[in-house]
Amino acid sequence: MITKKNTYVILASFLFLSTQALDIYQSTTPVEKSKDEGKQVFERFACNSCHGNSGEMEGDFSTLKERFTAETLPEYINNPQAYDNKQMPVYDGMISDSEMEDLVAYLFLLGEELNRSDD
Amino acid sequence: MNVISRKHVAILALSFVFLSACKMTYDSLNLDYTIEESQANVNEGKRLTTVMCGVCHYDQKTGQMTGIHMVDVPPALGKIVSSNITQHKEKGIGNYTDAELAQVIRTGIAKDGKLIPFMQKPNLSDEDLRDIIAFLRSDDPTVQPSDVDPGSTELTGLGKMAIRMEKPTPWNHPISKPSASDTLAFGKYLIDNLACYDCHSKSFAKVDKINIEKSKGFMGGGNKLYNKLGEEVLSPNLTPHITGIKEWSEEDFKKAITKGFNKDNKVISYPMPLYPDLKDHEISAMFIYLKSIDPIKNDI
Ligand code: HEC
Ligand code: HEC
Ligand code: HEC
Repeated sequence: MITKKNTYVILASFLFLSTQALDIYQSTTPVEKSKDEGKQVFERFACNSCHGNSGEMEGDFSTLKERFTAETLPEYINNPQAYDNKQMPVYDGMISDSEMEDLVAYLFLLGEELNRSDD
Repeated sequence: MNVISRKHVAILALSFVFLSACKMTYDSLNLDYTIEESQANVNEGKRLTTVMCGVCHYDQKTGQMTGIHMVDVPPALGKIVSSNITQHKEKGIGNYTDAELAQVIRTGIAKDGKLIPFMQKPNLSDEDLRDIIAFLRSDDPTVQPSDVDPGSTELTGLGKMAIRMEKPTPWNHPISKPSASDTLAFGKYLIDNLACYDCHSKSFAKVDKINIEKSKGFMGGGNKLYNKLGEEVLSPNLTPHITGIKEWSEEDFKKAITKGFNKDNKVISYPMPLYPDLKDHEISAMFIYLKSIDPIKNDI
């Protein structure tokens, strides 16, 4: 039987749950937060102007994970000329450590997304 | 009343006559020219080819001079693809003679007579021309025969019209290279042969390839180019005006063209090439020359 009291309880839980849901919706998970920040770094340093907004243009981001680690990828970005790439800016000293962390995570993520859209 | 008036017809007829007078193919000059291989410096040829030709012919993917689709030109002109210039006989330039190479580089007339106006270097010195040709013939891995086909140039009507407006540049011989101690002449030689003036003046259509200083808006920027996202990028002003590089130091300039960051540490992106292979005294001469030219006010 649905009593008045029951109705209140249901209403209250409903309200409670929806605020919870809203909370989850608004405060992004740590992964998404660093994804946003990685994207910002990717655009602020004009990586997208050569690599495309999804990393689909220069190079092959889909296989980055097979060829680089989170430690070695910054070395490439900081000094591409050491890897026989004379077209890409030398970012050494321009990107802070925390920006680099977000950027590298974002590059790997772009690679995963490219792989997913391939199949 | 007809939409096409008499006046229109007259203009059309005139443009037709004018356009057919301008051509897209020319006779070979049958030059009497071979390089003195024994005097050539292949290493210097490699460096010169990297900075003068590599920006358009080197493909980062193949690691060779196999040609690329050039996306920095206005899309309205069509698709422009640089050639495979490895030693492959069919796909590359294995069948070019020294004279034919010298001809296409200085005058723009290719082996088959086609005018290639994108890379004419009428003022390239004998010495540099010889070293570049010797390098193209060398055993360097980047020019070994490759059958990679980069695709071919497909011009739109507008593109064809633009090419018809272009002319072969004259064949001059001999041309000596300015000595590095003649800083202004040496700096100008580099701004010319590295084609900085081509992108950094007002418009590709209004440059003077023989006397670069007569180009419209010489080094004042504003030329419309495109980045890889297809967005318009205007070339910056490199004259010694406050809206140009008046406040720049030589260090700022060196960082910009070798590392890709400008005075304000903003990224300099495609289509500006980077030139890590230039020597310090070359960069310095270009900078001193640029500081000596007429300032142009043009806030890009
Ligand atoms: C002016 C153009 C340009 C800009 C700007 C640029 N890159 Fe590159 N990048 C290149 C080119 C060209 C390559 C070489 C591609 C190849 O090897 O085929 C490359 C290669 C790479 C690679 C290696 C790719 C591979 O598959 O081996 C990574 C990673 C990379 N860039 C990251 C970045 C990041 C991060 C930024 C911004 C901070 C950036 N790039 C900005 C042109 C650019
Ligand atoms: C601004 C870009 C650019 C530069 C710089 C450039 N080239 Fe080219 N080159 C092209 C384009 C584009 C074509 C092909 C045009 C066409 O097919 O319509 C071409 C064609 C050629 C050809 C003709 C090959 C054939 O198929 O007959 C040769 C040879 C050549 N280039 C050599 C050179 C050398 C050597 C240099 C340096 C001294 C150089 N190029 C610099 C853009 C360039
Ligand atoms: C293919 C066309 C092209 C050629 C060739 C070229 N540039 Fe550029 N350059 C550009 C473009 C476009 C930019 C702006 C890029 C951007 O803002 O991302 C630029 C930017 C620059 C800047 C930064 C200026 C500023 O105010 O930020 C300098 C300095 C520069 N070029 C010098 C040179 C020199 C010196 C040469 C010859 C050795 C040269 N460029 C050849 C197109 C070119």
